[in-house]
Amino acid sequence: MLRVPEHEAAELASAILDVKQKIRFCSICLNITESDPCSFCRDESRDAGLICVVEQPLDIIALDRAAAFKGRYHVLHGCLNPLEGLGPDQIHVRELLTRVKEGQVREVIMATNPSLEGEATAMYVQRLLSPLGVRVTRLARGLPSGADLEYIDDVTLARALEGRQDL
Amino acid sequence: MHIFELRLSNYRNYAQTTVRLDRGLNLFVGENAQGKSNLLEAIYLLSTLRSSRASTDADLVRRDILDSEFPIARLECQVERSAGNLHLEVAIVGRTTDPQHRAGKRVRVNGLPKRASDAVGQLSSVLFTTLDIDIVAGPPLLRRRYLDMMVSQVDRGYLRAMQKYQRVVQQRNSLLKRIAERQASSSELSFWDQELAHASGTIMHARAEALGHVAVQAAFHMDRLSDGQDSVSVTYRPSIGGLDESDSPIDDTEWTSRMLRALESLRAREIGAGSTLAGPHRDDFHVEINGFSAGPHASRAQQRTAALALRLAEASYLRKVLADDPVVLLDDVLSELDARRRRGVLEFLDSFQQTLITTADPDRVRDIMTRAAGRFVVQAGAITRFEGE
Ligand SMILES: [Zn+2]
Repeated sequence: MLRVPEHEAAELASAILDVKQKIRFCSICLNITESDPCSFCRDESRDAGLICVVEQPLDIIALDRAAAFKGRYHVLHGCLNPLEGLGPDQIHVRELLTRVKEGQVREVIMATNPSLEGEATAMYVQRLLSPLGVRVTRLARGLPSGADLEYIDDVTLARALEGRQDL
Repeated sequence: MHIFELRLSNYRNYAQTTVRLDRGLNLFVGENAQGKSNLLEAIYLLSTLRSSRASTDADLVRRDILDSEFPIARLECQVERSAGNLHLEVAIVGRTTDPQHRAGKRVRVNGLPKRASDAVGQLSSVLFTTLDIDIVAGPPLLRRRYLDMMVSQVDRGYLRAMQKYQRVVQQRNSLLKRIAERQASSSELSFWDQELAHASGTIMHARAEALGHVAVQAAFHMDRLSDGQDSVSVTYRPSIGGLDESDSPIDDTEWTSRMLRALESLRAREIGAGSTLAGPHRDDFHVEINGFSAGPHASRAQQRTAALALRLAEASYLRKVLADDPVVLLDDVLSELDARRRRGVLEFLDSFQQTLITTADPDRVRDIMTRAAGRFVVQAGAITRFEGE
C-alpha cells in the first residue's frame, strides 16, 4: 500500500467509498445489490414459487454459476450458532416467513452449508414453515460435510440441487 | 504389527535419531531424563496423534530450535502390519509467526497427506505408565480417556461421533444459557437434542461393547497376576443410568432413544444449570476389587495390579478388533512390580509381536534382559544398541 502512488491510492479510496455508498440489501431477498430490488428479484423469467435459502450472498454466486437453479433466493446472513449468539432473531428468518406467507411460494430449498450449524438452521426453518403448507427441501446429501457452499464445484452443486429431498 | 524403523528429528530432547527395532522384546535402559519416556511418547503420538502427557505442540519441538526459522519436529516410522505395510510421518509445527502457515500437526500415511483424525490408529499401540493407577483410583475423566483412546484407535465412527458430540455440547450449552436468560426459546433445542442423542448413541454403544470385552479380560489378568488372590470387576456406568444387569445388549438406536428420554426429564434442570447434564461426557465405569469399590477400599498394590490388568485387557481388545497385534509400550512400570507379577505380564506379552520396555534400573529387571531381543542404551537423546551384559 505504501508503494502505491498517491493519486492511485486516492482513486482506490474513492472507489471503495463509492461501493460502500451504492451497496445495499435487497428489500426482498436481502442479497447485496446496487439497485433495489436486486437483479434476481426483478428477473421475471425466474420462478417466484421456488426460493433457495442460503447463508451468504457469495453462496448465490456459487449456485448461479452451477446454472441448475432458475428460482429466487433468500439470504439469511448467517446460520443458527448459539456459541456466537446467533439465534433466529439474529438471522433473517422473519423476512423469509413473510415472503412465504404472501402465498406464491410452493417450495423452499434449504441450501445452508452442510455443517452442524447449517443443518440446525435447515431443521429450524422446516419446522417454522411446514405449518404453512409449503414444501421444504434440503440439498442432497453427498456434499462434503463441513465444506462451505462457495467452495463446492459446480457439478456437485448441480447434482445436490437436482437430488434435493423433503425435510 | 511391529515397527521396524523409527526416526525422530528435533523432537523433545532428540536432535536426530534413527532406531531399527526388533520383533519381540526391545529393552531401553537409561538414567532419568535421558529420553526413554520421550521415545515411547513418540510412538504413542504416531499412533494416536496426541501426546500421552497432554503437552502442547510447542512442548514437543526441541527447545533449541523453537525460536529458529523452522521450529518443526518430525516423527516417522515404518511398520509391518497384516493390513499392509505402513510408512507414517508426522510433522509438528511448534510455533508460527507467518499467518500463511498454521501451527499444529501434518500427517502423511504412505506418502499421502491425511487429516490427523484420519490417521489415528493406523499404527496401533497400548501404553503402560506408572500413572495408570489413576485409572483405577482417580476421577472419572481418566477412565473416560482410557476408553476413548482405546476405542478411537479402532473405530473411525467413534472418533467422528466424539468430535461431533463435543461441538454439539458447546452449542447446546450456549443455547441453554440463552434460554435461561430469555434470549432464546426452548423450541430451538430440538435439533441439538437430536444431534446430541445420535452422537451419544454411537458413543455409548461402542463404550458398552468395549467394556464388555475389557471386563472379561481384566478379570482374567487380575486373577492370573495375583495368583487367584484378588478379583476385579468392571461395569459401565453411563450417566443416563438405567443399565440393568439383566438387560440384553442394547443397540445404538436404543441408546439414542434412552438419551432423548433422559434429556426430556432433565429439561428444566439443564436450563437452570445452563449446561448439558447427561451424556458421554459424564460417563464412568466402576472398578471393584474383591467386591468393593477400588478407589477407597483397595491397597495401592491391588490398585496397581488392577490398572495393569486394564492395560493388558486393552491390548487384547485392540488385538481382537484389528485381527493384528498392537505395539505394546511399557514405560518404567515393571520395576515397581514383584518378580511374580512381572513374569505374569511378560508371559502374556510374549504372544504379542512387539513390546518396548524402558527402565532406569536394569539390575532390578535382570529377568527381562535375558528375554530381550534388542537392548538399547538411552543417553542424552541418543539411542545405541548394545550386545552382551
Ligand atoms: Zn433480491
